[in-house]
Order: sequence, then C-alpha cells, then structure tokens
Amino acid sequence: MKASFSIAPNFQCKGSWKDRLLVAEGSGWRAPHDGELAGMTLTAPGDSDGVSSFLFNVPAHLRARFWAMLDEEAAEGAGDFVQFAEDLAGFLAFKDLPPPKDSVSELLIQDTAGKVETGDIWALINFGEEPVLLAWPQTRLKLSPGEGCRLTAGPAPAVEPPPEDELNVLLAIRTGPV
Amino acid sequence: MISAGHVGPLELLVIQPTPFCNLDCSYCYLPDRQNKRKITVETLEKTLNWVFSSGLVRQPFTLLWHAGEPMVLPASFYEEATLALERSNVSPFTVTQSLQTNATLVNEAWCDLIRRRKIQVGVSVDGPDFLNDRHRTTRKGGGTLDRVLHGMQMLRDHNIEFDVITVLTSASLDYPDELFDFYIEHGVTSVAFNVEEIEGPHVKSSLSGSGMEPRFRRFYSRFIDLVLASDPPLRVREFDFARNSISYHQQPNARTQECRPFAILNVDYEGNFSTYSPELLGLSSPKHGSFALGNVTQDSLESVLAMPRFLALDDEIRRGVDLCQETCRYFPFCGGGPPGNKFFENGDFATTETLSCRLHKKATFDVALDKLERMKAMT
Repeated sequence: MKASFSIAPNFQCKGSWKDRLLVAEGSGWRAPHDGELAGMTLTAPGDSDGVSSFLFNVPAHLRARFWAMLDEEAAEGAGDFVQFAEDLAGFLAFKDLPPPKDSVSELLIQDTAGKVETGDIWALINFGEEPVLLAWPQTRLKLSPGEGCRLTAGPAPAVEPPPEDELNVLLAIRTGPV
Repeated sequence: MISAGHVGPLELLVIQPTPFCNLDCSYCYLPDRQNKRKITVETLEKTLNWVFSSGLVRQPFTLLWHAGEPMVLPASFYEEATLALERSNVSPFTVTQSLQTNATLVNEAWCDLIRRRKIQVGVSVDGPDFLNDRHRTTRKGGGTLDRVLHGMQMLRDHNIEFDVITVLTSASLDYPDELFDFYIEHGVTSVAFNVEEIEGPHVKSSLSGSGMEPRFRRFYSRFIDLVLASDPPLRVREFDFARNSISYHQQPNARTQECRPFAILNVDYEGNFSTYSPELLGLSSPKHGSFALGNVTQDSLESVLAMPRFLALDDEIRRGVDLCQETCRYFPFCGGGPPGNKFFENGDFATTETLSCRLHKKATFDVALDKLERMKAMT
C-alpha cells in the first residue's frame, strides 16, 4: 500500500504538500510533480478511506507548555508529563482525533545515531524546533515544528535521524506498551 | 404619554460618522455600507446640542463612533468633534469616547489622537487568516487580516490598549485553541464574542442550523478552560458578565440597555435618530415604518415621545421584555433579549427567544456557571 496523505479534519496546516513531500528519484529526492501529488494527497477530508497519514498541528500554547514542562523537570524534577499528555489528548479529542483508550505517550529524543521504533505508533508529533523527516519507501514527509502525523494504515514510516549535533524532539502516542 | 424624565438616562450615544465601510464583511448588517457620505461638523454640533438639551444626560455616558468604519474620516475630524463635544457638554458628567474599527486605516495621526484624547478602541477581527479572511473581506473578496494586524501592531507600538470583538461563525467553533493562540500571539488582553446574527440584510446565519448549540457550548467551554489557565490573563466579556451576575447578582431583573427607551441613542450621518438596538437605525418595517424616530434638526425628544409610532414601538418592545420575564429563567441575569434580534428573527418585538439568546446569553451563562461551580468545588 502506497503512502497517502491528507490534512486531518478540523485542522489547518500552513504550507503546501509540495513543500512537505519528497519522492525518490535515482539516489536523490525531489518535490513531487502535480500528477504525482494528485495520487498521493487528498484535499477533501470526507473522502479519506485510503489515507494512511493525517497531518495535524498542535497549538502554540501546548508547545509552550511542553517546553515549560521539560524546564520544570530539568530544574526541580517537577515536570508533569502525564498531565501534559492528558491535556494533549484532550485537545486531540476536541478535534475529533482522540487517541485510543489504552494508548501511551512517550517522549522521544533522537540523535543522529538514534532509531525510533514505529511499529505501534498511532501518532507522532514534532515538538522540536527543526523539521523531522518521516520516511516511507520512495516517499518522505517533512513534519514542521508543531506538526503531527496520525498513522492509520499501511507500512509505518521510519524517522530519519537528525543531522549531527541536532536532536529530534518528538512525542509518540503508541497503541501498545512502551 | 411618556415624559423625558421617564426615559433614559443615556448610557450609550452611537454616532454614525459615515455609513461607508472600506471592507465588505459577508455577515454585515449595515444596508448602506457603500454610501460614502459623511456627517458634517454642523450636523454633529446639532446632534450634541440635541443630546445635552434633551434631559437624557443624567449620568456619565459613552459616545461610540460606529455603524460604518469611523476611520474613513480623518483623525482631524475627530479632533474637531472632540472640541465640539467639550463646547456642547453643559452637564457635569464625563463623556468617554470610543470607536469600533476594523483597524485597517490606523496611522500615526490616529494613534496620536487616540492617546491624547483617551479614546477607547475596539478592534473587529475574527482570528487567524483561515477564519478572519473567510468573512472579513474587501469588496474584491480579498483577505484583510494582514492590514488589521498592521493596525493592531501600530496601536501596540503606541502603547494604546484595545479590546477585540470577534464574530463567531459555524467555522469558528472547531478552533478554540487556534483563536486563543491568535489573541495571545497578538497581545490581545480583552476579547468579546459576538455570534453571527440574523440582522437587517443578513438574513441567514451559519449558526442557526441544527446541532449548532451543542457545538457552540463545546467551543466556548474549551475556550474558557484555556482562558482560566492563561498567563498572561485574557479577559472575555461574556465570561466576566456572567461571573459578575452570578457572583454578585448585579442588578437582578434590571432591563438591559437595548430594551430601555433612550438608554441608547443612535444617530446617523444625517442626524436621524433611533433608540433601542443600534442595528435598527436605517431600517424600517411595514408595521412600524422607519425605525428612525426623528431628526436632531427638527424633532425634540418630547415630540418623539408623543408620537404614536414611538408609543407603538415602545409598547411592543415592553411586551417582548415582559414575555422574557415571564417565560425565561435567565431573565434575572439577562434583562431581556435584544429587540433588534427579536424583530429580525421572529418578525415581532413582542416575542422571546432568538439565536442570540440561545448562544450568546444562555450557553455562555451555563458554561460560566459550570466553570465557577467546578472552581468552587476545588477550593
């Protein structure tokens, strides 16, 4: 099953699919042509049966709270990740994108040598300040800061490690135990 | 016959400096917003003299420049207007000037005037571009948010505080977090929500469909949750009103401003005046004729109060408020639904519930009560 993409209903993401998606060409990557895009993306949320990935974004106030929570944890060991994850789930539920009942949220810090296990991921959110690349065979999706990807069907993507001296900061919502 | 001492006192004087607006918002109730005529200083002086000699001024009141984009006229006009106001105010009471603007025409001269004359400013903006530019457009259909934000930034650069009014449409109800982010990002400290109403030429609201009331409550509840956790704080007019009504039971059963004759006086650019809901000015009905009751150049308040047309209008509005009092459990906190909404939605002033009542009053009140009860339970 080929990767296909749509903006999740009730969300507004800035930027175009041409800026977000990359397709393989030889040993490199390029932005998809219009014809290719038409086969990879859907613009009408109601017609989304075959979509394998829904793009969404997290509001700025939650991103600020995420970093405040990490600061509190670093300074006093008082960062409440569980409460933050509950609030994030509350936001997604309001948007009619509720995480599964028994899902588990996990903070992921990935360095250039790191590998992220993605088999049981329900959604992945980029809380960092740089884009993160999700890699499917022949296709890549650039997740901008604050954007998340809800994975619904088909093969799970890999998370491309960041360049040297940078870190990917992600929150994974998993359907299985961490 | 009703005497002048039994109407008012004046709380809000709405003066229309021009019916023209440089924007063409899809939900606007102004029927004449392409008309570029402007009020003259002479008409303004006659208006102010009429007001201060009418017997309506028995307490401080607000002069609101509205019902068209007030900044279409240059700041220098309002300098003259302020001098005229100072000359004509023979009362011991302070008059606070206020203007409701789309902020697209804010410039240095405006900022200077607003600061010097301590004019209160309300900016109309509906949130991020995908919400604001859906309805608040130019006549060619273009978006306006960039220009609004430029104006808001100029106000902030001059340390001018302003309130924001946002009109909520069906589309807004999915985006409480995005609206909250928008206000915080742009330094807004006080917001008021209006709902897209059925008024004048705007005969259909996106909020009147089935299922809208639960969606509205869900939106408003989440927005208030965000506000209550907000740092820096964000004030919400509807929540403050409900909280004050509930906590302090302010003025129980008092009839609301729009339901009391001449608590609001609306004057158009030609000096024609009406009372009750400002949206009535410039409109008419087969039953009532023009809602303009007179003109400041020729009609005294006493003559208007004796007019059968005014008496019939007043009677119908009073009966509508009485019905609200008899049938609505929210009345002690509301004071009666806006007559303009009743007329435009129900076709008669002597009616009760409107879309505005269901969403803007009842839903916001219920949500506030729920939040306050939870807060009390936690303490």
